[in-house]
Amino acid sequence: MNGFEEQGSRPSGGRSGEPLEEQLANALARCEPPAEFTKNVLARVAELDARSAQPWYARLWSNIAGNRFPLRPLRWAPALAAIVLLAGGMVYQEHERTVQGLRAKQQLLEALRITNATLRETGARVAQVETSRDQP
Amino acid sequence: MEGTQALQNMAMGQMAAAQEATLATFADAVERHKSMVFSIGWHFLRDRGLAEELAQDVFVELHRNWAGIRSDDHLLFWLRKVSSHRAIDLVRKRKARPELSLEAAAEPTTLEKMHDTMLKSYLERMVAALPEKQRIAIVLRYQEGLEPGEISKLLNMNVSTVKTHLTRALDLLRAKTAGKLQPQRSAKGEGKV
Repeated sequence: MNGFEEQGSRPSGGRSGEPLEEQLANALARCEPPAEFTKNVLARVAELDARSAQPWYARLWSNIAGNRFPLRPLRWAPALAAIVLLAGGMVYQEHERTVQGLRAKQQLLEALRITNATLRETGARVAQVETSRDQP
Repeated sequence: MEGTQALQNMAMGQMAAAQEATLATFADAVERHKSMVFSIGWHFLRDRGLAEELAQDVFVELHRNWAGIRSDDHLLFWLRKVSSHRAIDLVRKRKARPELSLEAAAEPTTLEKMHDTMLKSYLERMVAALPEKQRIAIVLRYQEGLEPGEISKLLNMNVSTVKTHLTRALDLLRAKTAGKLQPQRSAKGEGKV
């Protein structure tokens, strides 16, 4: 492995003395965080403790108000709007199809009713003609 | 009734005292290990703001898991592991790109031997431009002085994989810094160019 096998067996932190390794250890030396770091961590911990002591609805509200809601509603708003529009369109299409079907059914029933009435009238006339022909 | 009240008060007082003691121990742990956690973030991300955010998140998570920490060694292992994984996650989540790629990085050809400060900064940037896995392996190896076996446990990798990452990273860095390095000088600045 390009000489790394030998290095792996050295005690912790030991290096080959190769300039690059020495310079890397120098360049990657630990550095201090900002002065207020510990104070800031403790403040965050205290805030979290106080929040966890609240009832669930208060926590939920503070999450929403502080935009810390896990789902981040605003991020999902466009997708949600698209889904609502798509579903609305599909429901509207289905509704239109039902209305058209009902209208066709009514037209058919009306046509049948007219046909029935015409047939009845015609039958009555035929009967009338036959009766008058039978009479001397 | 009064006896019960007194017992309740005593229990409450003991709980408060225990909480305070826990917080004091936790604060001490933050103080002792903050530079280690912050430095992993800094060397990996090369962004002080992000490194601080990462370090704070790690310690907040530590507080949440405080009851599960069994010893100082366990604490150190836990902090290194969580810091490393969080740093990688942060880069992936934010799709943060290194400031420059190793291929695009200009080599300081004009200097035969680079000045220490310049070299330090150059190497930091080179490390920050390495691929994620190689970068974290290099940071843990040279910042923390860890052996490949220890790094493999922290990163949940095979030892051979860690060695491969380290070798590849060193090869890349070696190629970029060829002829620009000289052995580390003593603190007194002996042999300065």
